[in-house]
Amino acid sequence: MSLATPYRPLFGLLFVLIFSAAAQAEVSASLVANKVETDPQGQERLLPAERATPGDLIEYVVLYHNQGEETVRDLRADLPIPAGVELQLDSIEPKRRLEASVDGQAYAPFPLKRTHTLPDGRVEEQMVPASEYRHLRWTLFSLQAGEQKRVKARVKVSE
Amino acid sequence: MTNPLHTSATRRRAGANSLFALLGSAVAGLALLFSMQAGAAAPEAGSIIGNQASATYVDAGGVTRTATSNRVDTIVDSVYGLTLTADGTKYAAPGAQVTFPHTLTNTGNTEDSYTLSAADGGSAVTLTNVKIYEDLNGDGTPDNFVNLNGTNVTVAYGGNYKFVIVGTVPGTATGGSSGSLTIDATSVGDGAQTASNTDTIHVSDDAVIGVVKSMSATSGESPSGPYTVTLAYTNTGNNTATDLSITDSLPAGMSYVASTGVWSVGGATLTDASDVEAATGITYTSSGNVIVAVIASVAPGDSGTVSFQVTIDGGLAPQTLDNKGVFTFDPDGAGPTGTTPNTDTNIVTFTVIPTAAVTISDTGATDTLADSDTDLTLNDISLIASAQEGSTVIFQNVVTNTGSGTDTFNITVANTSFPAGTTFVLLKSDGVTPLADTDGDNVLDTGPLAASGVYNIFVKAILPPDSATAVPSDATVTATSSNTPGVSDTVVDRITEITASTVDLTNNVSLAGGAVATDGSGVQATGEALAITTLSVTPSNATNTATFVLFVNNTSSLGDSYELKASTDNTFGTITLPTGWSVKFYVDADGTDGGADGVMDAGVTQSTSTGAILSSANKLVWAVVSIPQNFSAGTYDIYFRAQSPSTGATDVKHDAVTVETIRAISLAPSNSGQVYPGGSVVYQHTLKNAGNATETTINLSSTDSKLADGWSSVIYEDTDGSGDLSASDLVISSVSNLGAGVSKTLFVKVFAPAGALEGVVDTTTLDADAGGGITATVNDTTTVIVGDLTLTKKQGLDLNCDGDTADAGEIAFRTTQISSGAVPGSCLLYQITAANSGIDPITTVVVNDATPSFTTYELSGSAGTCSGGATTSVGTITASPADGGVGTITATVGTLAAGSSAVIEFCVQIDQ
Repeated sequence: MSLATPYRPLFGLLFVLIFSAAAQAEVSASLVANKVETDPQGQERLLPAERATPGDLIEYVVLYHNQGEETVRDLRADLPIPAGVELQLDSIEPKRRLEASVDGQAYAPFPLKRTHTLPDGRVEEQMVPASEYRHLRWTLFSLQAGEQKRVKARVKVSE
Repeated sequence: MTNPLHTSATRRRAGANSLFALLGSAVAGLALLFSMQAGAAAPEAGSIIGNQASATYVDAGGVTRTATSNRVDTIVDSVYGLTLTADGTKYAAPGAQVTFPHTLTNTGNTEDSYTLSAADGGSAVTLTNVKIYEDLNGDGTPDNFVNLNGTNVTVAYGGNYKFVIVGTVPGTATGGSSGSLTIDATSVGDGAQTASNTDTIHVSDDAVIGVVKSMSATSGESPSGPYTVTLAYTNTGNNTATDLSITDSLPAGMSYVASTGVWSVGGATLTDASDVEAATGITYTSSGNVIVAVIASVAPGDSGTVSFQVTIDGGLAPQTLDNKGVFTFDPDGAGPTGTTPNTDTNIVTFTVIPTAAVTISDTGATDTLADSDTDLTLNDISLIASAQEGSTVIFQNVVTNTGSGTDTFNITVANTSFPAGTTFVLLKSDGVTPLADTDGDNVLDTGPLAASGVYNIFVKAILPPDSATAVPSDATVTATSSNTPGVSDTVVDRITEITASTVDLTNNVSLAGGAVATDGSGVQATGEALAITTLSVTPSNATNTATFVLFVNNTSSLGDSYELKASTDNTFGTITLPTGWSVKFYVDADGTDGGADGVMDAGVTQSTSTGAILSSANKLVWAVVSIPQNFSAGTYDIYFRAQSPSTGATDVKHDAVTVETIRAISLAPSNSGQVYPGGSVVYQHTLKNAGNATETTINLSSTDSKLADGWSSVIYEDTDGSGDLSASDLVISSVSNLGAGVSKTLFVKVFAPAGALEGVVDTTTLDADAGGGITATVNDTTTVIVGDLTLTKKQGLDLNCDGDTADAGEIAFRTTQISSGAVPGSCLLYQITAANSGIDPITTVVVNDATPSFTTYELSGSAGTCSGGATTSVGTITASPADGGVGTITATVGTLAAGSSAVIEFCVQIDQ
């Protein structure tokens, strides 16, 4: 492991400013994190992910629920991938209507690709490594009154 | 990360793209390298992997909203691990001390301690005095001589620890034999985590050369330098070494400074070319960043140095540059030609520390939000020319990492001159999501931004209501490096003018419906000079209403609601209305009325608030003015005001109500009376102006039905206001200027002729004529009677309360006023004479009188009625008050014969 100096805490509390519009939100979002453990028989078990060690799998599930009385539209669900974990690309559900971003600014359809200029000047297309994914975003279109939609992704704590 | 995505090209401005193009792929490659390093690191134990999902959506009202989930945290537990590098091989002369450098790296995710133990490895040659010394600067020699063998050293998370192991070759060792040293490191946190190295020593009777590499500094920024690299060699063997060749291939990022080679032996500067040096015994060449020095001969015990200078290249991401030399030599002096294998020097690690630099700027012409920098100039002022109070404006500021390494920039906003109460919200580059604190220092930041990376932040300023000002409002936004907190830059977000919210109150037609000045369009702080709408009301009913049609037009760019008031004070300093008036407002809340038919529909709601009115929309309000009956005629100005309680936006409308004239007069009551022949009777009447305007002239006349028989009548006014006809009351024939609602007392005195016969009835008609057909009439009926009981009351002053009026200063009985002498404590005597002036007896006569105010019934005088009580000449006193009391005196007279009379007397004392 090679590290740059000086080292700062990788993770910090995420402060979200609440402003008045948010108080009227009709759509609720609830996030659950579970640690995925595989027993000797190969059966997966989900345990609360209050603690984890490097190499552990964590599954994030977000449930979006329209608790209002009107249909909402243009719903875009954003699931950040925290620093210190690596997204498991195969685990994402659903994979339709999915975009991703490495910086939270520019989003492109999943999976992410980028161009790379080789020393001889040729331009090559590369898949972006899973470790660089930092945001997933689903365009869920509309959510009718009372309707719920679920998105899911697993991450591995970096080793 | 610089533009890594296909689709992002279309999302960025041309200027930004050309910037990235200039940076080229080399920088992108370095940035990628670094981010992969950081991404692969195991998170430190105890750190929190926090996550929070969000969503944006558009609600039914078309408003974009954000939903944020709960936050979930996962705490990272400890794992332990280590690596130890590297196995070493050295030649040593018998009796010499050997030194091997090692590096222990903490590969766990938490700080850990490690037990270091070094010992002879059990080979043929047994080394003695095996010790471990600290070598933090990595120069291959001990920093001090504290033996750490068998002790614990602590290494921070992600850190490493450099040390040397030394041992002494016994002097008895023979050339060609070998020895070894082993070094074990064991994790204290997890004893199963161990690592070991083995160093090999070949004992040589020939030359043994050691080369130690060092640098004048082990860390610096990019670019920096020059730094001196020194390769120090020593022959610790027993023979002369020849052709000692030292090669140093500098790592990428470190560059040789031409013509800086120096040899300690020759003293002269060495040339880089492959040629003959001025100093004898050395060849020195530099081919790019590969330096080769060959020293012809090094005698046993000799030492020297070859040094040169290097610089650190610019544009390097923070990293470590590891550098070592390799050397080879012929150990056997003049013996057969043959060289040792290439041997590494120690590794010198140079740490490139990041240089922190940041700019935060306005966008100039490249803003992605319309009007977020209206001066279109990159001048560190993000300018919005105008915004309305209560509105929300968004500034776009551009943070650029101009430092050499990935850095996180804290963003803070200082309100310099925005109105108090302005709320600032920092948003991420998507313009929607709130900026977060990614590094746990409780300050919002950009998150890690690679060198040359650009991040747009959006500063949302929520202006308070009622904050209009022509003075520019400034906020200073600061981006501060987390790597080097002293490095920061600022940009000013400015609104040149905050405009006031406005509302326009119009009559009858809304602004959208085409209201013009004659409908009262335009904001008038104290109303128009002239009434826009004047309604007429005839106040003939118990309640009378004038209904104004008002439109409240929100001329602001934001929704607002307004309080409604009416007053005759156009400044609304006081809320006043004419006496008895009231105003009620009815709001067409659902917009279904529209008011076009001028009739208030049932669906309207009585309220003094309009409720919310969207920008550029309007609401119909009915203002119903109630006027009491017969309110004075005239035109009355009334002002209506719509005022926002939140923004203070106000408009006042000038309207008026004309109260029409109602004319009416009345006369009352009709009386009847009796009169004896030749006598007179007085009738009292009230003339009232029952209209709402002053009657200038009311002519009065009276006529008697028996005028021909000698009856007559005269009209008096109650000039002295006594309520009775008195000597000072004047005869009148008209009343002038009788105000609305004002009454006047009139007396009609009717005279019967002396020869009138009993039972004759005369009707006296009193006419009042105000002109214009406004008249009133009342009739008095007078009947002549013969049998007639008259009462005459007299008074006398009895100063000493002895029942007579004969003493000095006393006044005898009389009907006229006693205007002086009646002092408190003195007594008044009353004498009532009831006389039958008719021709027939009168039966059952009862005379009642009472003690006047300010007097009491007197029985404690010295004589007469003042001591004996009331007397009557006929009949008996049947009721009287107690002494000093008040009340009624009743004389039950009984029958009075024609022409006879009864005299009743009593005494009262004036209160003292």
